[in-house]
Amino acid sequence: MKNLLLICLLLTACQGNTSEAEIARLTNYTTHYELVNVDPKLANIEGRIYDSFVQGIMTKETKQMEAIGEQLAELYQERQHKLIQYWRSYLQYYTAIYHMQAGDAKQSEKACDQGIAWMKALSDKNAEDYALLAMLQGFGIQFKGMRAMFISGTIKKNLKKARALDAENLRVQFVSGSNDYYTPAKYGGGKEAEKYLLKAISLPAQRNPNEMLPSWGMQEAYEMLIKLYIKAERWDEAKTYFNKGTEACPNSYMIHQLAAKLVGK
Amino acid sequence: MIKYLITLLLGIGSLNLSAQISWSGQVLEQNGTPIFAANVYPKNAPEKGTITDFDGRFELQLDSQVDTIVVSYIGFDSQAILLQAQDPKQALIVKLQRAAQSLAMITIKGSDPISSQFSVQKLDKMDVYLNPVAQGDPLKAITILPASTTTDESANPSLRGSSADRSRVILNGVPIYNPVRSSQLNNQGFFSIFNPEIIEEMQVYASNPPLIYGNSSAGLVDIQTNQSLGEDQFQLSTHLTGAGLFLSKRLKQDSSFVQAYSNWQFSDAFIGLNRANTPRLKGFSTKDVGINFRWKLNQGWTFNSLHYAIDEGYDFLAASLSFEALASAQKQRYFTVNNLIYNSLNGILSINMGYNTSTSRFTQANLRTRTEAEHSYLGLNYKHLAWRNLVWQVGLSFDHQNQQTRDSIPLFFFAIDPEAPSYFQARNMKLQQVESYAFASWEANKDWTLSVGIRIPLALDEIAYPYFSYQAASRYQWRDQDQVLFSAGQYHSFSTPSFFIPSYQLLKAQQLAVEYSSQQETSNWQAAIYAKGEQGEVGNNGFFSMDQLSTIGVEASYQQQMGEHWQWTLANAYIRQRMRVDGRRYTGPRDFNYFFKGSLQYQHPKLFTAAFTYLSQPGNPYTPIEGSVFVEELGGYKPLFSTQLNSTRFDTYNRFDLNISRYFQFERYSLVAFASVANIFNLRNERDLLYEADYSSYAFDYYQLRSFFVGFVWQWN
Repeated sequence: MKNLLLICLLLTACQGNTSEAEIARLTNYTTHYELVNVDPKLANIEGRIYDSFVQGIMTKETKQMEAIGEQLAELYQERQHKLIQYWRSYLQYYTAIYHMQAGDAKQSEKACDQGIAWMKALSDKNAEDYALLAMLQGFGIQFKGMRAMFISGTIKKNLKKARALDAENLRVQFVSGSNDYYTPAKYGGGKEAEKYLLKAISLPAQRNPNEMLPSWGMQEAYEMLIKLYIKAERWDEAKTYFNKGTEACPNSYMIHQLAAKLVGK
Repeated sequence: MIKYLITLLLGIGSLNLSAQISWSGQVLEQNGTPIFAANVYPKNAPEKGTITDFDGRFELQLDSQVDTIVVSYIGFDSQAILLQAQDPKQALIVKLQRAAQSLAMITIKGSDPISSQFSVQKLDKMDVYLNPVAQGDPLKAITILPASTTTDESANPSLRGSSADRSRVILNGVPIYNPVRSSQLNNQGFFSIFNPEIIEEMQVYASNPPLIYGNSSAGLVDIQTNQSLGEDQFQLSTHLTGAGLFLSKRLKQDSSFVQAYSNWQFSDAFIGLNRANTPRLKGFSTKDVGINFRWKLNQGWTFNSLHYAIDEGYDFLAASLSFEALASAQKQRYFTVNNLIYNSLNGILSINMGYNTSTSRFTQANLRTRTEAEHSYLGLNYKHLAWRNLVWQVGLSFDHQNQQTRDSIPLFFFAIDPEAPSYFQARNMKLQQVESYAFASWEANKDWTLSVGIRIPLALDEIAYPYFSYQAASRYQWRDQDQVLFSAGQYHSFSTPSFFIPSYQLLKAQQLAVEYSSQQETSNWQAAIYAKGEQGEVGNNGFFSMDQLSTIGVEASYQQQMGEHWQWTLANAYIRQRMRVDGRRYTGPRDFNYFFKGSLQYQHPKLFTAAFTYLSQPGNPYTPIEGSVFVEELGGYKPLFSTQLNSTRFDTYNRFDLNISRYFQFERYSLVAFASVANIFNLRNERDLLYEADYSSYAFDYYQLRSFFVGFVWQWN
C-alpha cells in the first residue's frame, strides 16, 4: 500500500507542484525567456528540485538531488547571486525531508542546518527569503530539543518580517500558517493557522510568471487547511476546500491523498 | 479595382501595425548592480515578457503597438517604461528603486532598541522559564551569565565586578531604581518586581551601557514588555509561599491587549517545611497587583501603560558585628510606566513617562528608619530610520528623585542594640537630572556595524560640576554566527543614598571591552576581556568608603546541546579588582580568581524537565577585626578593624541546586508542577561574621542553607 502511494506520488508529482493554469502560463512564457541566455541550470528549477525529490523517494537514491546540488554549487561559484543560494537552500529542504523519510535524522538535520546557514547569510533578505528561512527553521526545530523554544521565537520574528515586507505573498502566508499549525498548543500554537492558510490560498502563486522565482505553496496551503479542518472535525469545510484544492491543483497528490479521510463524512 | 486597392492598403497597414520591434536593455539597482531574474513585460500582456540574465540584460520582441513595458523584481518598486520616448536602437537602462519599507517593517525594526546589536545577551520569556537558576524570575536569569558577578544570592544584577547600584534596569525606556523585592530575604522566593509573563525581551549590556539611557556607569538591563499577544490566557499558581493569578486578554487583534496579575505570598508553609535551615527567618507577607495595558490606536500610534503596587513586610533575626536583634521591615510601593509611541515611515517618536512612590520602614533595636521616596521620569526620544544603513536617535530625559528619611540611627555604627544610644536625623535628598543624548548606528557593510553615543547634562541640582558621557562601539560579524564587539566609553551615574553616604554621589567610569560570541545550532561560545576604572565615593560599610576601583576581567562560557534532551553550560570568569581608599590600594570587593557556573539540563516533554546547577567562587573578601577597645560612653566594645582592608576571605562558596518540573496537557487546560531544592548538600557558605561582645571570637552567618520549594501552575487558554 505504501508503495502504491509512492507510485501515485511519482505519477502526479512529476507534473511539478504548480497548477495547470500556471504551467500553461509558464510554457507560454518559456518561448520568450529563451531569447536571452539564462543558464539552463536554473531553468524550471523549482519543478526540477521537486521532481528530483520524488525520484529520490522512489529509487531510494539521492543522485538526482545531488546532481542538481552540484549544478547549483558550480553556478554559485561562477555567479555569487543570492537567488542561487535560495534554490540551493530549497533543495536542502527537500533533501532534509528525504533523509527524514529514510529514517536518517542526522543527515536530515545536517541538510536542514546547511540550508538555514545559507539563508541566514543572505544580505537584504526579501519576503521570499524570510519565508524559506522560516520554513527550514520550522522543519529543523524537531532536531533542536531544548533549543526549540528559542528557535520558535526566531521563526516568529522572521515571519513577522516576511509579512511586513509582503503580506500578499502566498508563501509568506503559507509558512505563517504552517508554523502556527505545528506549534504545540502548550506553546500557544494552533490559533491562527486557519487565518493564514485561507489568506494563502486567496493569493496568486506569482504576480508575474517567472520560472526563476518561487511559485510553491499553493497545494501545500490547501493540504494543510484541509488537514486542519479534518483535525477539528469540521467536515463541511474540509470537503469544500478539498474541492477547491483539487480544482486549483488538479494534479496534486498531497491534496488527493486526503480524499480517503473525507469519504463518508 | 478601387476595392482591391483599399483592401491592399488596409493589408499593408495592418502588417505595419503588427510589426515586431526588438528591444534590449539592462535592469540595475540604483547603485548599478545588475538585477538577475527581473520580469520585463508589456503592461497589457504580462505573459509575453522575459526575464533578465545574470548581468541584468534582456531582449524582447514586441508588437509595435505595445506602448509600455513594466520591469519588476521582488523587493523593488515596479517601473513602467513608456516606449514611445525610447529609441529601440539604444539599450534601455532601467534602474529599479528598492521598495520603501512598510510601516509594519519600520515598526518591527524600530521596536528593537537602537543599540540592541551591542547587547551581550537577549532573553525572552521562554529563556527565563528554561533558565536553570532563574526560578521564573527575569533578573535572576541573568545570574547564570558569565558577566554576572552577583555574590549575595539576590536578583539585583551586579555586572562585571561593579556594584549593583551602578547598573540600571530599564523597563520600557524608564529606569526602575531598586528593582528587587525585600532584598534582605535573598533567594527565598523573593526576587525582582517583574513578572516574566509581561516580558517580550530583555537585552543585557554587561558593560558599556548604551547612552540612550542615563544614570548607569556599569551595565544595563533593558526590558521590553509584550508588543503583541498571541492568545488569551488565564493562569493560576499555588506554591509553598502563596498563590497568584495572571490574566491576558486580547482587545483588538493581537496588538491591543490587557494583562493583569496578582500574588499573595506568606511564610507559614515555607518556614514550616524548612524550619531547621531558616533559623533567621521569622515571617513574611507580600501582596502585589499589576496591570499592563497596550492599545494600538491606529497604524501609527500605540499606547502602553503599566501599573504595579506591592505591599510587603518581613521579620527576621538580623546580625551586625557583635549585635543580633529581631528586625522588622515594611514597604509599600507603587510605580507606573507609560509609553506613547508614534511610528511613521521616517522614524519613531516615543514619550516615556514613569512615576514611582514608596514608603518603607525598618526597625531593629535602636535603628529605626522611615524613608519616603519619589521618582518621576520623562523621556522624549526620536529614532530616524530613513537611511537604509544608518539609524540615529536623539532625546531628552528628565529624571527627578526625591528621598526623605526620618531615622533614628545608632550613635556608634557598630552598636545596634536596644540599650545603645542613637540620634535622630531627618534628611531631604533631591536629585534632578535633565540630560540630552544622541546615538547613531551605522551598518557600514555586511560585516561591520559602528555606533557612537554622547550624553550631556543640561541642568543639574546640587551638582557643582558638569560631566560628559560618550561611547563608541563596533561590531564585526564575519559569519552569520560569529561576531566580535569592541566597545569603549566614559559613563556617569548617581549613587543611591545610604546610611553611610546619605546623599546622591556622582559616579564615573571608563570602560573598554572586547567580546566574542559564536552561535551554532547546537552550541554557543561567548568570551570577553574587559578593563574598567570607576571613580566616586561608594560606602563599603560603616568604617570606610572607597573612591576608586579598577577592574580587569576575562570571562568565557560554552553551551552545548547533547542529543535531543540534554544540554550543559559552563561559564567561568577571572576578575582582578583593586580599590583605593585614602590613597592606598587594596583588594576590591569582587576580586576573584574564578567565578564558575555550570549547569546540566534535561528536557523531555513527555517526562520531565530537570536542571542541576553548580556555582563556585572564592569567598568574598572582608576586613578582619584585630581587637577592640572598651567605650565608656557606650558601656560596650568598639571593634578595631585591620588597616589591611579586604585582606581576608571567607571560605570558598559552593552551591548545588536542582529544579524539576513536569508539564501535563489536558483538554482545556495545562498544568505545570515544579519543585526545587536550593543548596542540595546544605553547604555552609559563609556570608558574615558574628562576633562576641568583646570581639575576641566569632562565629559565621551563612547564606541560604538547603531549602525546598514546590508549586503548581494551572493555565487555561
